[in-house]
Amino acid sequence: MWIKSIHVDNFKSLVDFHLDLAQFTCLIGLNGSGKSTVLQCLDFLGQLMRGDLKGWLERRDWEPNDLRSKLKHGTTIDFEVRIGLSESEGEVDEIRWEGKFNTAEMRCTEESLGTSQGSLYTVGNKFFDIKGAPKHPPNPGDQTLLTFAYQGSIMSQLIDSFLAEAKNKNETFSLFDIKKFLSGLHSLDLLSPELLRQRTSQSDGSLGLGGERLSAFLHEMEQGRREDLFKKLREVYPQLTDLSAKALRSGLKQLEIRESYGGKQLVTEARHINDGMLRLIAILADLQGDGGVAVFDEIENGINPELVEFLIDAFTSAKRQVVATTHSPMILNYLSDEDAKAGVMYLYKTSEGATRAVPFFSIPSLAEKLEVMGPGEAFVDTNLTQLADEIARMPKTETRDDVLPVQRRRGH
Amino acid sequence: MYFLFSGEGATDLGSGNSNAPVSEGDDYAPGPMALLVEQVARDQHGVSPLRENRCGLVPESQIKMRAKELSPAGKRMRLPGREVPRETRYFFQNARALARLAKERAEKRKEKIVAILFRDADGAASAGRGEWTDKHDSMLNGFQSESLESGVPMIPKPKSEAWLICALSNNATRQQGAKLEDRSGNDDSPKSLKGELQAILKKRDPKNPTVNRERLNDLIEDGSIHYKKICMPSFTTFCEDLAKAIGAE
Repeated sequence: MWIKSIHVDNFKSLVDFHLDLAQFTCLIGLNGSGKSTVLQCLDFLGQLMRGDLKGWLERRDWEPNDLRSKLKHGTTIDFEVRIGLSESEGEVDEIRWEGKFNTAEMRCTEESLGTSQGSLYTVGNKFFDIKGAPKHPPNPGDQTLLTFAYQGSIMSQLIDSFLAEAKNKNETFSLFDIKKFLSGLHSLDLLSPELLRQRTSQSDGSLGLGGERLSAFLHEMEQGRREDLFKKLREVYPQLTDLSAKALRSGLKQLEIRESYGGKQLVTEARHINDGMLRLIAILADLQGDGGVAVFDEIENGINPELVEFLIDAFTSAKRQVVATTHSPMILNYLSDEDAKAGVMYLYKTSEGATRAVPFFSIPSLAEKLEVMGPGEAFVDTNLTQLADEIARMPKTETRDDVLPVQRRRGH
Repeated sequence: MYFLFSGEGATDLGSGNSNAPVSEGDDYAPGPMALLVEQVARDQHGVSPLRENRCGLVPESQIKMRAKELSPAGKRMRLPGREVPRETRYFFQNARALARLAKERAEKRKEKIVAILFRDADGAASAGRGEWTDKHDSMLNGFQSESLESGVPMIPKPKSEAWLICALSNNATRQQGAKLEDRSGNDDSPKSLKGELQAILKKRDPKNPTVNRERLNDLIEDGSIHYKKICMPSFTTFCEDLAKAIGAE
């Protein structure tokens, strides 16, 4: 599964905002254009499936009102997520999940998820209806009365074995698979070396907002995956002989590395590992994770130029879909033209202050530049402050179905 | 001396066989800008590249292919800074590609090559952004970075229609010429230069409102469009650069 697009209305500066996603989507744009907001929004959508929206707000130090846009009235955040499927996952084109999140009630008061084969679940104000679920108590609409309180999506509260039974005929995936995929949508937009150095006891399947659960995440990682991660790291740090997260008596896990210099083994604890390597470990570890989409902010941070090619290769060949922001022309220059056309999204603000996204190389002057130079060169050669005039002259397109077959071929 | 042209299409330097690296002779259909080059070269320098059949056209597709090869992934980035303004890389890159082709040909044939690269200042890669002077200098830098001393930027400001309009108007003054350079290059704008050229040609011959290569070539050949009537700074610079290139060793 992979996310084809998101449409969001009323989340911070995202008002009637649409974004198509590729296997590797690189968000670019001037400061303040809304790049981080998009990452926060992706994390928010994942959190709806995980529940505990209050905890999520607390970790970000936000109030419920901070979620809504200042550009319009209304207490709900409307969203639509289109999920694409690889051919092995079924014959349907896409799964569509849409809903209205009420910021006062902290839950989706309206929600639906389904495919062209039929609905898998719907939620109304007082009732819900899940494919294959026993109706109790029976009522005229054949829906189940909502008799419990929850946060986010109703999916966050339903047990896995029950969700695994909810599927359409001829479809290989169940609601459980979809929930697992969507709840794996985490953003590491606050990744910080200080937090990466922390000792933690449990990861709950993610690195945490700032990467603070890295040590536990590595500790819990399957052997095979950790070996893959270690092998990858050795490509750029050949002196590395071991990467481990050992359990301390307190139950906390501590990250450490071993390096060999002139035949001598040196052990370094997390608090002394350099920032760049820590960030790289965190990024590679996250790419090894399950489901969802890996989301990173300013991927070039702390990464020396000679590692950029390695990093881009890791992103473009990752099993997970990746969304990242960057200001670096060098990052973009290592993308193939095909990946740049499909995945580089330019974010900008309208005169009213709403964030908009446009495929950067669909802008005619950028398409022309890309014919004679690299994507990063075209980016750095362009006066972005004046780009809005040209974008305003572009014909409006609703979707970019032309790039979707490329994604499908790659099996995402 | 051999002239190697490269432009954007039929109505500027002309068109050729897109599969051949250089189109010449019957394969090359010169456009109005090539005929203007011929006028200037013959009048001021006593050479006739078209009449003497000592010229060829490098199709834009070939230039693009060569230019792209100059930018392998992540390598050789020319970062903008105080000395390298934005919106110029396109001109630099195209000039480098043509310069390389010109150098290869000069070496093979053991003859001097004058390379003329035509690009509208406000063309597809600009959309109204960037300064003409920076684009012109960037093209010269592109030629020089490949050690070609005889490269000539042909960059009408904002686009070739302005030069033709200037030549077709009755005794345009320098001020009027300079004013034309401040116009928008956007063909969709209500007062576009493209529309104005169309209107002028329609007025000259109401039965024939078409603006194409043949029509413009006829107007140059019958003297209705003459280079001396183009009193615009971007054209003057072109003539100066051409003189330098022809005179260069």
